[in-house]
Amino acid sequence: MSNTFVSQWLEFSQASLNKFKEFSDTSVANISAAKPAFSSADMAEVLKNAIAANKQFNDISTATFMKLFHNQITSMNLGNTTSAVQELTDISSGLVTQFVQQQTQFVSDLTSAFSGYVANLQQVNGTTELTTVQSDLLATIQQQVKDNAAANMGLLNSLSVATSAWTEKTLTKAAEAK
Amino acid sequence: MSKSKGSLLSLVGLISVLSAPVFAESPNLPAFGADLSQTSVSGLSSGAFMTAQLNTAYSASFIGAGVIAGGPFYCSGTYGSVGNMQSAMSTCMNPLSKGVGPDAAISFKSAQKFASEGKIDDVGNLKKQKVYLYSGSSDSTVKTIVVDQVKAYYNLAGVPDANIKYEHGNAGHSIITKNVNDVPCSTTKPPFINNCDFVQSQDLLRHIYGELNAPTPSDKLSGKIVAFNQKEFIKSSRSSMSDDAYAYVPKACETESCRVHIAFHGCLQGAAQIGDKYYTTTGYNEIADTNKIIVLYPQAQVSKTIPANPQGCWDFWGYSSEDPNNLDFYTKNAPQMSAIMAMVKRLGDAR
Repeated sequence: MSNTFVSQWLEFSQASLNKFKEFSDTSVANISAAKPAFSSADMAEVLKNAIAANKQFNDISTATFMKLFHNQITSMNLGNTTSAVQELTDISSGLVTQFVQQQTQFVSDLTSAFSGYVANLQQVNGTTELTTVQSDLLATIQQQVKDNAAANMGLLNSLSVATSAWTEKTLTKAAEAK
Repeated sequence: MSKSKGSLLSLVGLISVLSAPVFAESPNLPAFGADLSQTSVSGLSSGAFMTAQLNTAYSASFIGAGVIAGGPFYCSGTYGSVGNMQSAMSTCMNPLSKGVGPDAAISFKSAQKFASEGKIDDVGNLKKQKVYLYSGSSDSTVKTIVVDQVKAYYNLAGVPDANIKYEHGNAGHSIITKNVNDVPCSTTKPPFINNCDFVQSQDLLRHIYGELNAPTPSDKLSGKIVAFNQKEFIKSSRSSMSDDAYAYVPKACETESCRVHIAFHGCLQGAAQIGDKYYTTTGYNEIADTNKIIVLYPQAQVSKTIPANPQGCWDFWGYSSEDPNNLDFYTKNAPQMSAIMAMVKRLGDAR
């Protein structure tokens, strides 16, 4: 039922992850060569990517999600489906809310990491400290990306469970109504 | 090698063996002749789920329960089309909507069925109980719509609203204290013990037992923490319970007959993760001290392989069951619950 939605979500999540991987790879190479690892343009690109994922999700979910579920309802031929549709709306709304909360937190965490990095740069004394500060930022961002990916996977699980639970409840009600 | 060198080496070897650290087992849990007619239980998170589970399965043995950020009995079995573990991680924690979350009616119907099959105590026992519930608005780990179903469950069981104290605040996922060194109230992070300027453990005990004497200051406790061999009570290799557990025994309870309260930590809060923080800083001991209550702190531990319990949670979805096609985690025979009730029985045995 949610295959197209899920595959689209995974696609842009993968695109985000690829972007971070590029960022990480370049940064590691630069740190190893003791070159400046992050420019403000780099940091802006990372943040922009995270925010874009949020907007993309909103656009996809509003259109595709409900279309998929409506198709499902029609194929199930449930008769009076007002409450079932309302419950689907609630699920969709819950999904968007939770995703937005997660992404907002992610963007906030990224921003804090970058702010901390800039503050540290102003106190750096020598190449060794510069390398340490840059490595620390990289490790922090990598952990945040990992945590965000885990949170998104959790949300996918919630979606999968919600659709199963909704189907079970709706079919049970329909059977009891006969 | 010369004889003297050989003798010297043997002697060195012997000294090494004799001086190697010997990790002795903790002593067995002593008997305290406790009054088991007034036993209660509480917990946070997976400890809260275990509280609701134990309180229903052994309802004849309890007079009350405190569920802090947890869900109803048999929550993970709410939807037959969803696996128990999947449900535990989603339906029972952060369902996308109320409509696909836990369902008190389904939970209570399940309890009635299990009772009729002899797997748990008669659900009629529940109506006499006092129940404390809490959900924080900043808790996105276990949503309020989940905890709401616990209240609905106890209402269905016949517990009147007057006997249910359901508190709301702005806490993150945590047990609440008044300790300025604890995590800020609305944050959710380890060790999940938050300062929201009241001592939740004491509030819930007051609700369950009625008027209580004022707590002892933390630095003037009369009693002692008893570390005991928890393994003695464990009959299953899948229990994911630690070798050791703890109990706070007020001085008075060494000679008098005291009540028993079981306090369950949450995931990532066992002694192996956070040391003694849960069993010494959450406020239970201070009020137990002046009110003749022994506080039992069973311990779950992380298990990364078999069973799969990477966060050291209490089992409310079935990882401890020997047969994955015949889950028994919610029954009186469940490995964890039977071990815990055996500990309670020991506390009640004659000294």
